[in-house]
Amino acid sequence: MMGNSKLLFIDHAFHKKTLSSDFFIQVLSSDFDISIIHLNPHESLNEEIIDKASNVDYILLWQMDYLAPIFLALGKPVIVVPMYDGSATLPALHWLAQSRALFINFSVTLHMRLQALGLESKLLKYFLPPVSSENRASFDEKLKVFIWHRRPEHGINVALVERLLGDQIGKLHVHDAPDDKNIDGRRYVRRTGTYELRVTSWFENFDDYLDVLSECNTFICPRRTEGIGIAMLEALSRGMLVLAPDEPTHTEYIANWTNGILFHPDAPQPANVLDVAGELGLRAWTGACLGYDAWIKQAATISNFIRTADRPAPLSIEKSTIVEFGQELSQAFYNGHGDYDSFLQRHLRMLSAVSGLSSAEILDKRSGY
Amino acid sequence: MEAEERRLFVCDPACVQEIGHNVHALRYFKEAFENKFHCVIPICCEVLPEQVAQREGFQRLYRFYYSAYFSNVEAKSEQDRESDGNSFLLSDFQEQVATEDAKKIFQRYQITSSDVILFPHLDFYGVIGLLNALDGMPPKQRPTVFLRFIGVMENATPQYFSPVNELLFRIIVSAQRGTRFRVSAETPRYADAVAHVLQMPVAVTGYPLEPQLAPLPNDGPFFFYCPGSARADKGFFELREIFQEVRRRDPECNIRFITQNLPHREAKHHLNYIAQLYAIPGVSIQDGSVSAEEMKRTYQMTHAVILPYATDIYEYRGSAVLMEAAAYGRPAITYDGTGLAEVVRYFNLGSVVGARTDMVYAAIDLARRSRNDIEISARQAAFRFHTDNLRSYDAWFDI
Repeated sequence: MMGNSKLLFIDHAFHKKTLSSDFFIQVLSSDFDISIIHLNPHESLNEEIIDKASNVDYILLWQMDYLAPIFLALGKPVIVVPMYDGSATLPALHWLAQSRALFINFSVTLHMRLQALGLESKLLKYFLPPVSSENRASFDEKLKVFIWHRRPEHGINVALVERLLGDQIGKLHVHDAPDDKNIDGRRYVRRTGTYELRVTSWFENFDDYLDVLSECNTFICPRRTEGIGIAMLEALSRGMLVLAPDEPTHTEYIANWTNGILFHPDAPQPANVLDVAGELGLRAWTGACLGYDAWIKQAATISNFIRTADRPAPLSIEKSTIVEFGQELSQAFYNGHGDYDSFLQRHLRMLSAVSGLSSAEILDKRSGY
Repeated sequence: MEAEERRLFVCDPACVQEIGHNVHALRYFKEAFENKFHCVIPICCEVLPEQVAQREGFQRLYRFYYSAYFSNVEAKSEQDRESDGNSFLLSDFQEQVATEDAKKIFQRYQITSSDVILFPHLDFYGVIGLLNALDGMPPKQRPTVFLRFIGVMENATPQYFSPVNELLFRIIVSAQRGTRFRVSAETPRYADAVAHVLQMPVAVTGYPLEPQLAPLPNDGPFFFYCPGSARADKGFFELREIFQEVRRRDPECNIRFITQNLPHREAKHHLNYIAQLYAIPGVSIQDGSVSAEEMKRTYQMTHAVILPYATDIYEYRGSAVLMEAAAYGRPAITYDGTGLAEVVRYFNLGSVVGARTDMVYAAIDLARRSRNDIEISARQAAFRFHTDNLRSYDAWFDI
């Protein structure tokens, strides 16, 4: 009996902590033998990684899209799972260099952009299992609000909650644990209203977090944009009233004033929601129930999609040259969009070889992006 | 002349791509009249992919006159688009090319007066080119020309202030010079308008579709389908408000929606809108291009269609989607003031509403009706529409 195909899953080291790619690994684990590499930002490719890649059937890049040309050059079928928050603003050359990869998108916005470039993309919409009807968030007199201070310096903080909800707040729970450890979140915990305020900065385990969440009925999404938005999905699955910045992927899960509320983080307007909060929460939960059923069906199709990945002919380049190119590529990527775009332009011949597109086609498609 | 000696040429110079109803429509007309003629020869544009033309039995002959209107379709090459120089010089290049193409058909097939040339959804240059070519033929040798107006490609030229009026004028002139015409239009309103100008009887002919009645799913949520290409004039940008308003009144999602998306090239300009459509609970979005099989499957699993078509653009026009929905036994909800609304009303193919709010209430009311009741009404409507349509085609083709 033949064994499973081997898949190398290359992920951002941050996800070791957030575990936000675990659900996807779980989905693939019955069909593939998966080995995982977590890469830190600025960490360069090395020969060991190239050797590992040589011994597997598929390479899956979770949010590490910029590495795709390296593995395509090695002649590997590459599946890229880009995230809107990390990749939405990347230049057209970034995508065109990966033309021979397959894409799996959790953002319809990114999915359509890539399709417009002629790339093959499968769209998925992830949902968490919904709570039972009786465990749905309940709404009485005032709102019980939860906000995680992940990016308080980006304007998603207590002041924003007060601006949005004002005296409709009965209780506010602030989980003050910024992503950037150099930020002093306490600076942003300034109450001006008369509501009950609770602050945590650490949960012993995930259940402790869920316990706090279950005491609240209103959730403020903690970042301006998301790759998927697992925290938002958790809130939707509980039938909470969700308020989110009006950027993807929030805009792809929340239809404004239908199953939640979208706000502009730089110009938030007061939202008079007390009368409709229960209805919005109900629709959020119903949507999560439907969405979860649909996700289960979608998940069953992912492995077959991966198996359709193109197996490009390897370029005849020395391993050391590929490693060197990979290191320069990583360096340029982390230097910022300007340097990265410039690097890609300087290596148009290489990009043409790995993408299967002529330089003229690349430039033509780029101009229409 | 015996029927078996007659040939029917079904001509569609705008049949260029395998999306929407482009290929389907020509196939329908090819198949619908096979028993009335000795042979049926469908002629499409040379730009239609060869394998599609071969599969369908279409002859690729017409050059493409409408690049300006189809951003995703290009003429084969500049060289191909050049005139062969054998035609008299016309100021309108497309007219010159179309005239040459019509002459090519005459020559290749040795067209005679026993032949019938049918434009089942006529286009400006295809017909103009034909009329010019007929001008060089003695009246007694000319074939009979059947023109079916559907209100789509009649106006596809920037050369005239009112292309359709220019077209009608040329038809009148050609008729005065001895060409025999039989004319029909897709909707009663359009037929009356054309008859008024041409001063000849104009039949009303819908899509010649056999009913393929599919049982209405009897349990589970009520599904509305918005099929066909997602376009502004077909109400794609109305859908968010309609879906959201229904959702606000139906938080349990007993009513669901399936719609086709914009084509990839256009979708990128409307990402925020599409994201919001995608976010509404109970809404599924199909790709911008849907295969015939997938469309059929979707019709089978849905209960009704929503067609919020623009009342100005569709003032006279019908809708292939409406005809398809009728054939599957799916009622439609559409706005008043269009050509298709009159068809819906007369045959009871669904309901006609005045405004977006009315559409929301009509959708909710329809979803509350007994499925059995809806199915019986839809079958009766499909029967009436189909039999009426057949009789109308018979009368039109009674030559």
